[in-house]
Amino acid sequence: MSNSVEIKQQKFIEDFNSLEDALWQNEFLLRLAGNAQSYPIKYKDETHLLKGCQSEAWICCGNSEDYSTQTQSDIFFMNAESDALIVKGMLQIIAYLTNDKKVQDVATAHFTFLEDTDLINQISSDRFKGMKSALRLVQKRAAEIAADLDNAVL
Amino acid sequence: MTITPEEITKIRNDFPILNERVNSKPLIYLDNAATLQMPLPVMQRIEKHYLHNNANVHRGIHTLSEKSSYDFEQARIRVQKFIGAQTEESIVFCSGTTDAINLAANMLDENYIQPGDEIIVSDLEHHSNFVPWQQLCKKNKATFTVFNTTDGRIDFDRFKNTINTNTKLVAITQVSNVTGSVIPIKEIVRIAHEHNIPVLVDGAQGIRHNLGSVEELGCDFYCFSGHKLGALTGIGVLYISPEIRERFSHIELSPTRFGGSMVDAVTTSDTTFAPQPFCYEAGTPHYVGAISLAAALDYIDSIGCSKISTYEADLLKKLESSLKEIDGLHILGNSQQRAGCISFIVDNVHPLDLATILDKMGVAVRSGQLCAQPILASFRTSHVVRVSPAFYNSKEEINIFLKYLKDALKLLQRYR
Repeated sequence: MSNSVEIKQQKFIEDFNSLEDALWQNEFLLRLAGNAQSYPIKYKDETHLLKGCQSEAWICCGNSEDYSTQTQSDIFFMNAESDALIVKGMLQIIAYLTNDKKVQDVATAHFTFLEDTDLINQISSDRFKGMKSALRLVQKRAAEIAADLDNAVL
Repeated sequence: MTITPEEITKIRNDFPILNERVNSKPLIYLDNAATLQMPLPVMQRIEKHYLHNNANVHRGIHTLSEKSSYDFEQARIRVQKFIGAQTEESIVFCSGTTDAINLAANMLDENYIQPGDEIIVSDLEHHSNFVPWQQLCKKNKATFTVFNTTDGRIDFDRFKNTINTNTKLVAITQVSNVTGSVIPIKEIVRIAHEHNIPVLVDGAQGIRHNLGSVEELGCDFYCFSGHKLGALTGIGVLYISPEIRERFSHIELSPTRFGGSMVDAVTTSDTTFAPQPFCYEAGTPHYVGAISLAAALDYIDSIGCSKISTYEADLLKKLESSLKEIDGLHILGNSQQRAGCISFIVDNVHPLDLATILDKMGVAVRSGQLCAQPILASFRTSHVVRVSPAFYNSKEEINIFLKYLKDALKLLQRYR
């Protein structure tokens, strides 16, 4: 395994699973939500709204620290916001795994943290679908940035 | 008279699911407005049916078919007695409250609701008693009027002023599934009938709370679901008043579902229909569901409807007074009488977060839109937490819930 996202993910799965109690795991998610970088207001719009979520959630990502795609950097940045803290915490797992990583690694990573932790038993099927949708969106964006960078080189 | 602590212990033994552990914690089930758990006697009745009596109903002269048919029709009589209906023919079995209301809407469709007519519902309605009428009015170019309550209460002057010469139906809930408000149905019916308007009552939440027989209420239609009484899901009742055709000679109530069971004679040119209620029950009915419903009613009556409603009202009062003491917690609705449930929001706490944390503590409450978006919008919220105790919840469980609620709020507010 040489994908930097997958390496970080494996450590996360081990750490999360060591919190055996469901309440502790949810408190972990709350802490992730509480400690998250503040989400830019300009990205709290219809374009960045995650569809199909029971609570409102937004995702922004890019290859610069302000989550835009203005630079030639191949480093990925992601942030997420929700009016429900636990949803925000779950989305922040994705941010934790992908921030400062190469866009190619984000685009090609095999994300298994939902299935390989107790999250799969704890979240509803709607939330599970919502998280899968968020992961697809993030990877699609990373793949687009990677392709743009490749085209720029050519 | 109320349920004593000794009786609670005995009752709880009839509900083995209450001994389940959820997330390694003892289950505290407070989502009874969504569904009531099934007691052992009902499960045993279903098992007995399948072990000894099962056959399709009204379809054979062999012994099992006769036994099954007899039990099915006895269930109809049992329901008739429970809701205080005059005749067993008033009881139409269907699949639930939503189905019952849709059935009534289809019956009233082309024959009764014409362009320019009006149907009135309240803003308290569950989507099941809102959307069918809205869509019927849209289809028939009639007016769909939503009558606003105030804090979950009916303003009768406003109601009287809303009714007009075009009003052809009032559809109203007996108990709100959000605020628990008990609606004064008798008065609604009296006013509507003065204007020659029939009334359909959504009894999904009200059926369990000893709020009067259908004769006392005087309503023309009454709908409820079996699973809210501890029966199987998939069984419900549409009560049609025997006086409806006499009172409203312009209402036809023709059958709307066709097929087996509901016919008298079928030829290649035409079909005549069986009498009520069979003409509204096309196909194989959910006879096991009906039998389970009869068993559930027997169980409830064995405890006593009046004792159940007194006990549950006490639980709700205790909940309400304790919830009011929590800073930042806002109870929805300010009703003079509540039954079955109470909903609330808390400043800066998302209801989904609160329900999730409570779940990890073993507490089952409902969160979300409760299939009642109009009334939530009037309270300026999109999600709530709803607590709905039942007669098998102990006072200790309520105390534990309140402690866990405060713990959960402390935890959530730490990370806001």
